[in-house]
Amino acid sequence: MNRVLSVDIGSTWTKAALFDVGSKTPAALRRAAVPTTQDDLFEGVAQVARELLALPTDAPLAPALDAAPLYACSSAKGGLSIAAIGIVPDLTARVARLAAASAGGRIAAHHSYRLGAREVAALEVEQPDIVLFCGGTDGGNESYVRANARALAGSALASTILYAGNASMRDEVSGILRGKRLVVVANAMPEVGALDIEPAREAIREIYLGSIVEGRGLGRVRELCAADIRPTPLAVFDLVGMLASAGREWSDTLVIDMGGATTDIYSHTTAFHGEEGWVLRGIREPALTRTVEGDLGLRVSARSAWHTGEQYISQRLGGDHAAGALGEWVERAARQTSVLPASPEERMFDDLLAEACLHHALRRHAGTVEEAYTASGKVRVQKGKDLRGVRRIVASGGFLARRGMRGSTGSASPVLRALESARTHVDERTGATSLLPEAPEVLTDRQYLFPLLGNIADSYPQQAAEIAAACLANAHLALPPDSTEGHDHA
Amino acid sequence: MNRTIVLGVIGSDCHSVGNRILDAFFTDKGFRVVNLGVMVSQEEFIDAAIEANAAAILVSSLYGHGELDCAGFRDRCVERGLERIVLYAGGNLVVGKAPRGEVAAKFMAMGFDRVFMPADDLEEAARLLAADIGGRP
Repeated sequence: MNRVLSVDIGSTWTKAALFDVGSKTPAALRRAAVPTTQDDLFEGVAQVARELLALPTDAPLAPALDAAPLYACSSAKGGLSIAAIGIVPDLTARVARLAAASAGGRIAAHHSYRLGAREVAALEVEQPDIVLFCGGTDGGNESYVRANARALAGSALASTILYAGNASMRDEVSGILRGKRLVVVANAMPEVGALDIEPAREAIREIYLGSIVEGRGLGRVRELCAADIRPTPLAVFDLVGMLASAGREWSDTLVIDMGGATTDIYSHTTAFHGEEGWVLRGIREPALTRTVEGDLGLRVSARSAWHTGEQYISQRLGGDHAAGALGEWVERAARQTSVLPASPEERMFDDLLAEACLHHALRRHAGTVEEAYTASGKVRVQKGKDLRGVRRIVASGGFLARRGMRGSTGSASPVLRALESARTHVDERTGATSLLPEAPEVLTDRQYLFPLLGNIADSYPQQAAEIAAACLANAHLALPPDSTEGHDHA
Repeated sequence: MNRTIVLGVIGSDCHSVGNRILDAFFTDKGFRVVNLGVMVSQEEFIDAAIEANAAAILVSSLYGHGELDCAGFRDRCVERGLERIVLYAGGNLVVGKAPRGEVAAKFMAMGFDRVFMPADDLEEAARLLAADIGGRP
């Protein structure tokens, strides 16, 4: 039997699974989780590996890993933080965010137009791992690019600066930033609306391996691994891209990972179908994308989630009779990130907050359509990504693993409820609606296997996709009582 | 000289034939054309002009609502930092047959630099465009 060991080092839990990838029906054999060992991440990995391989506590790991190669991803110690910089919010600034998120980054900051002293000061405090510096088409804008290069050059930033802007400005930017750690790649938006984010994604992967893995205390883990360590969201991203190989029913999938700090959405589906009477405006997104919302989370980000979702929540509450108690719950959740709802009321608050996060994250991930009447009939103007073709939604992450399929009232799932409200939302100003899935099947990644399977998606694409499909296919059958063991709220 | 121009049909107007002809023509004349196609909003013209560092924006309108769609265009350019950009409008800019002088006056008052009618000579337009861009370094 061909076995592999996969580990996901989270900020609170180090999760792992042993997979059989050699037999005709690949499967997850065993799972385990231990608290992440903050002082030395290697310790937690060793503990969980020994547990899964049934080794004594002091046994050397390396020989056992010959028979079960180790794969790992990590989001511990802040994960991979990226500041995304561009010029126009709907063009290069958006492309920069898309590229950063699709490389597995946490968007530490994002800025458009000219970086002012205030923005630079905020970046200096944040000290992101990477500043993804975009702007201008090839042969295009020079003034903002020059100004932003100078602002970065004059800053106390120690980050690696990745320039993926106007190619005609490469030499000048390299000159201005000669005192910084600078990597230059092809422009992420070489022409207006045309994306080329792969070179930036690849460079981010290399920077992560070259200078970030070591700094996060992952050097010893890397020595044991059979493949490169990657940021956890990148592992999920890769798996979502592979899922289609598990069968046709997996060809258009959306994955939601909601945690305490962020709500992440991944989708793999054709972004624009070019139907008769449809026009696409703005950038044409790739089929496989990720968005990450730093203001939408259930614990650390509870306050901002409440703020963003205020309208949604008050509509659902039907008045303000519980707003005071909800406010108290939000404060508790934000301060004490490991708190779990105990009473029915707290469960309802947790659900409401989750629904609000989902509602907004789905609307931000999805494109919009508005109808226009022209001399030659009705035309539909699409902006962003069309998700109507999505047939399956996978709910992952701690909260959704617990509650993805049923709400506190026992009936409708928060995912479906949020989806329905997001899908039927009409923009007051433009009349635009979101291009969201209409009647998808919702499956729950109860065992939080997605990052773990993502780790092996490069080496065993078919097996990873099959195991994911098999685990999820059964996920809506039986729901054991609430359990949060091994789920990160960070 | 910067020869990048942004081209598109404004508003709820999906007449694409003339747009493609203009794209081919100006490209042939040595301009670098960023063609946004049909149903373009003011913001999209300006967004593209900023990213591409365009010297001119050429707005087409064929369905008679050009006046409404173009209102405030220059002001918006100024707000977004494109004070010096050359702005042209062309096509069937108003409903019915209005005299050229009247249409031109309306659009020049909105801040457009030149206005073109369907029968105007493209060669002449290209010469004027080069001269206008050259005169506004």
